[in-house]
Amino acid sequence: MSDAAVIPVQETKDDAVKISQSYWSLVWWKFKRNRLAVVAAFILAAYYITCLIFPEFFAPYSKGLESDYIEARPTYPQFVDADGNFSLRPFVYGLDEEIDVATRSRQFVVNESVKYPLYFFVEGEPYKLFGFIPAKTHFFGTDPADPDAKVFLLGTDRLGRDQFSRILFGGRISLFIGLFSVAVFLFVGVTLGAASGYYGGATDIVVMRITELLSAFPQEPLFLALGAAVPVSWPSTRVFFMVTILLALIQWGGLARQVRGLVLSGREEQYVLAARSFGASDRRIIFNHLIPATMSHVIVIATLKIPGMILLETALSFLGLGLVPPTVSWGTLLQNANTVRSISAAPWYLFVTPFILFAILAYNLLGDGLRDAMDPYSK
Amino acid sequence: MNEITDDVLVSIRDLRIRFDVRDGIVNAVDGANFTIRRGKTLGVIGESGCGKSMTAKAIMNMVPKPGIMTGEVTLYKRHVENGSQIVEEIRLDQLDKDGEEIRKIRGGTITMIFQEPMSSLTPVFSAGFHIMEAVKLHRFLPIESIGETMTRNIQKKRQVSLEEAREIAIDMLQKVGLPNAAQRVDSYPHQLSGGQRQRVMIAIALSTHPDLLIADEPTTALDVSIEAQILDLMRELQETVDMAILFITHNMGVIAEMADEMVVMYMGKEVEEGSVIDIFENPKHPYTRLLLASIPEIGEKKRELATIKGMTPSPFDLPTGCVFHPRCPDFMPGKCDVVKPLLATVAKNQNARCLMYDPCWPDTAEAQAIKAKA
Amino acid sequence: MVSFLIRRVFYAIIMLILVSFISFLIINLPAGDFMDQKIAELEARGDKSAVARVEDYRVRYGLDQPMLTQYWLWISNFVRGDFGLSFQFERPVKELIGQRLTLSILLSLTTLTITWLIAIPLGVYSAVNQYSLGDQIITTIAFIGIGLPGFLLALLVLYVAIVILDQDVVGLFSREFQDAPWSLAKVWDLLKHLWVPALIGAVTGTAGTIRIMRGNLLDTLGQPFIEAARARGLKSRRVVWKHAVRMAITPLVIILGTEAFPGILAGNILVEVVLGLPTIGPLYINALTTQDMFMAGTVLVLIVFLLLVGNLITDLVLAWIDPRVRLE
Repeated sequence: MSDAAVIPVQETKDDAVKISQSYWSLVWWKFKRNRLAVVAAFILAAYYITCLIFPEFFAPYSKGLESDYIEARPTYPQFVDADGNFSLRPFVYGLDEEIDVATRSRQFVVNESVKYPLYFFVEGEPYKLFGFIPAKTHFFGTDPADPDAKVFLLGTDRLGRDQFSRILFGGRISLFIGLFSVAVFLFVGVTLGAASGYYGGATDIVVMRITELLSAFPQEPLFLALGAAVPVSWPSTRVFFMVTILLALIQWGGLARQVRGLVLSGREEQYVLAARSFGASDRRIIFNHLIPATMSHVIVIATLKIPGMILLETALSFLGLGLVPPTVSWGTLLQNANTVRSISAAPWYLFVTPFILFAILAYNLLGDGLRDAMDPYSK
Repeated sequence: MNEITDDVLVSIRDLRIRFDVRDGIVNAVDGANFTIRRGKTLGVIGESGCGKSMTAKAIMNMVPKPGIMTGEVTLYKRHVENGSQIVEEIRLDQLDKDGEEIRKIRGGTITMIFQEPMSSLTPVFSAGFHIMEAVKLHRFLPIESIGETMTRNIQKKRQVSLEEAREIAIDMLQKVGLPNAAQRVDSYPHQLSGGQRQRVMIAIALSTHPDLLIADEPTTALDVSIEAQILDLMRELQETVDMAILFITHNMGVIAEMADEMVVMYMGKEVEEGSVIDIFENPKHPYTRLLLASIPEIGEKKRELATIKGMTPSPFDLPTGCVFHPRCPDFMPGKCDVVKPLLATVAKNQNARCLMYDPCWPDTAEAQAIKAKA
Repeated sequence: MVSFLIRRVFYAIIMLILVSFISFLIINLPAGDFMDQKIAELEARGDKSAVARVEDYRVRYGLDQPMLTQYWLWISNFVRGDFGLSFQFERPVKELIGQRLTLSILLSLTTLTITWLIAIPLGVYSAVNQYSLGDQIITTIAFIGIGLPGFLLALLVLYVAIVILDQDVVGLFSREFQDAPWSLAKVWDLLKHLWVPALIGAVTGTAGTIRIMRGNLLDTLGQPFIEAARARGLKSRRVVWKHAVRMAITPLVIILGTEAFPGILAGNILVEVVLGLPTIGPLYINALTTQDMFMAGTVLVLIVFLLLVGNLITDLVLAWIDPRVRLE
């Protein structure tokens, strides 16, 4: 073997890298031009940072901290007080309890004579970042030296817990369910779909019959029934994982079919035939050749699937069939608003809906942008 | 051949069709001039992308959306009024694209058959439905009058009824040689073969007694044997109904078989025009000569078929001077790549767009030599 | 065609058997017997005759038998039209569903009508005037609409109605008509309430339908037969509606069959629950939460049944509107 024989091999390898780089750089280039999708990506990044990774830091209180302020109305940050004085430092007014004699109910009214200034990076309740780093700095809050000072940006619930903090913590669970169930969904769908397409025969028949059976059920009612079948007595973590897996299990059929189709057409491609003639194992062909070829398609499906998963969880928990308190998710938070009474008495329970809606919209925009970008040769 | 005489049906003057697209401007048709005569067949030949189909669409006033059309397309429509014949001049290019007037002409006075018989019929409608749809729109029958109380000129006309339309449809399908026309009238497109569908297309086009039939590569998608049948059919039908045909093709052989006069187009311009016999006998433009030399002939053994070197240029980046010069075997450096040639008369009723024949261009020894060679 | 139909019906029956068994399993999964709870509750109240009655149910529906026997009992009664007893209400499931069926059908039909009335014209406009301002507005709204989940929308509507407008939008009847016999005034009252859930339910469907209609029609409008139809001198409107829309509507028929039919029972369960409608959706949820097994199982199997029937009808309708399918 002379050196000359080696060089061309290296060259082809470089070429292959170049080609795949140019595909992804083309995707990136096209994605960047879609303003809405980029904005959506930033919104989602903000969601994940505030809710999934650092809710302890961004929330002024912990999710379980109770107070005497029962179903208190939101206190919005102000810059100009009742007398027209402007202060650069935002502040919130205090709340006074008031008994409505006619309805014999308690409610809170804004007391404009008490002002609590808001500070950034204040010392507050101690918490453990990532579950093990002790810290007590919060992104914002009231003066820690004043025990009366409270800030309830989005009101409180029946136990006097801060809604804003709970929405951030609830986002942690809901967003994580979206990611995790889509991961399970992808794993099951891609593996079974690829196996079905590649092996054909009995594997194919069994997998396809199962997907047919799944598609005979309407998704929402089936999911609700399955959710109801999860025993109430289970610990919350187990319920959480069960719900996540159920989400994936009722939906993988469609993905498996698509992947199967892609693999079926890919199986006859030259590079797969070549790999087989070199004696590559089935596993290697599936995982190194066939699945990567379906990647761009799968990424788009996954992105567009996440909002659906989040919504299904929210719906299930909202109906009381999925996660139950004390687990905090957007769905369980929404449970507070499941009666007409609570909507009329404490409409701020609905503040969780815009959080859900924006996450859903952002995911849809991102998925749409990715779909256009992944097919850079179109148009 | 451009003077307006009595037998002119459609005249096209300085037709230009421009598309402003993202990558630049495309001149799909770049100053076409020709005349279609009553009852005659004009063949238009050229490579794909030379603007043949777009010219046909311009006559129908159906240039697709971003396209901008300028120039004149005039239809000379004959009427019988007060017992005497009058000729109405209609500027097709100035009519509203979706207006009443053009819609009467489209599918009525001028009809069209397309390249893709497979997909030119709406799949959910039967063959008969298509014919009846056209007939109901464009065929009118005189209202029967008792005695001679009604003079011919105020004779009223009425739409055909559904039953009459169906009869016409069956009759037309018979005329185009579809076997079992009475049953086939209810067949859906997917039940017909490609040749049969093209026969149906022809039946639709002829059912309204048009003055002009535009055939846009009607046989390109068909097998050779079917092609011959369809061409025979078109010729036969043309003889029975006095109708002009604008025959668009890229096949010189088809032109020879079908057309009386012909226009050779290249990159949106006509490069040569004249009677088919003259041009086949004595082609003047180098492009025409090459096209003719590329036809195989039975019995000739030795001759190597000519090819035209290179490719049609990108419409965004046209060559300077004569657009054909990079591919021209008779390319004169310093002239052809500088000066745009005009259409010049090269023989009786024969024009060519080449600097060799351009009267403004001094007869150089070089040009003489090339002419002599030709 | 006939053999095709027979094959499809046979397939649907097999599916139905499998699905009903799986449904039964799912509904029976929760640990603990609904009857035990009920008996404990009744005993606490000292209602001796009721306890005996419940014991009687247990024997009658074989709840002390193994699972397979229970299933067999249930499904054989089911086929005969006896859907069993709702243990919660101690009334036949059939009767409870029957009471709410009319309103469920009415709601789903209204929703469907609104969806198609809005979506098809807008989708067609959008496609015919591609890239126009109107098209851009329609596609943007449709895009947002697809992401809007009905039940969240219903919650927001409740908020607006209750807190801002001080209006009563819950349910399908005003209080005074709740139990009143049917009369013109009651029908009018129903219509006054019906449009809110119908409109909310229509949002997501409308957005999706607009998108599909637009996409299909754009594909169709690019086909040669459209140009050919234009060249025959047809009016633009006729070319679009008679030739193009006719072709582009096929996928919508499939959606109609697979969503509208099961939608009669479970069109928008969550919206119905939020707005507290006297329809079948809330009944199903209630049955699931209280583990009222025959009730929940019946609704689930009926939904699947409607889905399969819907698929069959879709095939027939497709054959009717598209000759290519018909003559296969």
